[in-house]
Amino acid sequence: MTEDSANGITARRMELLVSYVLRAGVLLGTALIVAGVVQMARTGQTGYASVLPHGLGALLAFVPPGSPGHFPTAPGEILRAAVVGKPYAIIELGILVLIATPALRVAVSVGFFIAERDRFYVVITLLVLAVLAASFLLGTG
Amino acid sequence: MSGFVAGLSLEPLSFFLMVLAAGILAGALGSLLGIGGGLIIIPTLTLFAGVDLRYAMGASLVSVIATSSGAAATYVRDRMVNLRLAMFLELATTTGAVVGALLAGLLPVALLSLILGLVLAHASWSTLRSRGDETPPSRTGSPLAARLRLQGSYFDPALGRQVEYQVTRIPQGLAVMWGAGLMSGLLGIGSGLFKVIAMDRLMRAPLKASTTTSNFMIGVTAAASAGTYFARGDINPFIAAPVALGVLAGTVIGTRLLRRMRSRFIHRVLLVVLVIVAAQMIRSGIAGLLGGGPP
Repeated sequence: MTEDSANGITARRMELLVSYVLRAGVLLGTALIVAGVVQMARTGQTGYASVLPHGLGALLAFVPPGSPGHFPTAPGEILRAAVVGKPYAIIELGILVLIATPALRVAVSVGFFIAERDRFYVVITLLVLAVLAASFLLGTG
Repeated sequence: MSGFVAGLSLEPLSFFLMVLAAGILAGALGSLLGIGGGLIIIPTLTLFAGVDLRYAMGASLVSVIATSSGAAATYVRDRMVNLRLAMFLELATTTGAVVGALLAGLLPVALLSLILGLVLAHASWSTLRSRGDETPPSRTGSPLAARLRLQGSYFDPALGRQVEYQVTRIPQGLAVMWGAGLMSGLLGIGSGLFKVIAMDRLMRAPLKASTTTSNFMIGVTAAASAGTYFARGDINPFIAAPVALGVLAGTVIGTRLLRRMRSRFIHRVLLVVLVIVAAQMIRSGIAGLLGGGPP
């Protein structure tokens, strides 16, 4: 453990930043999901094929993506649909924010280990970030 | 296999509220145990709410990310999390999760449920035999752990003092962590139980450091497979929304309880949950292999 007090204060700040990033990501993601749910309840629509209030079976059965009326899975399409107020797209945008939050946390952790002057862990953290980036690319590919 | 609720043709609103309530329970238990609650929410959704297994696993992944991030924000602020240990072990969990997410479509889930159930049964047995000590049993770490600076300390409010600890058996810990990541990608769970077992049982970190560090790691592990699930269309907004919201509310409750409780009580809760989940996984695994369960 480094006992250098200036380093310690910077590391503590980075630690708090990691905490804030996690909290902010959860709050933003949750707010978007709640907004989508409110919009769905208000309009009685999902924005896609399954229509409230009589379609629970249609809402729960698995439908492969690309089928007519399927909810979008591409981030760009979700963003465009969310902006025009489609309830499912707003919820999905919130889900994407939640998924991105841990990745952002890892990115901020690089700063923590730089503040600690711990090169070995800077490298470890960058490697974890690379694995996360690879997994997102594999998901879309 | 259609569930009881779908059979009763419940209104979407009732379904939404019921899943929300199940999420609150899973979230509270999850943050108490250092698991994401995915192991609790998946059987609940498939068996009692008639949700397709793929949607249940996708919703579970979102909920474990939310749980981890929500609780971890508090644990990091309170310096309960061992950031070096977490980051080092995440190398193993994320690579495991990517492999798991890619393999998810290739292996029968029923077989994996069965294996997972058996591993959990073993975990309950070893938890039953442990004593739930408040302080780490060993104060000496392995030379490798010392070189990697994996030692840590945290303030335990229940004991009223700072607890210093060392860790040991790094290669074994990494191996179990890789397996935990694999399970996470394959089954859409946070696999926090395996992470706690790896740190608590194998690496000899204190239980509170293990549960909080596990909770911190779960989000990154789950994020490594959630991208694939999302692109596949396995994350259904109507199911993921109440699960994520419920689990988050439950997490807030669980996080507040954890700091006031002694480790012995956490161990007892862990044991009960392990037994129930193990029986559940084995039963659904066998049913699935015999052709009666979900694909």
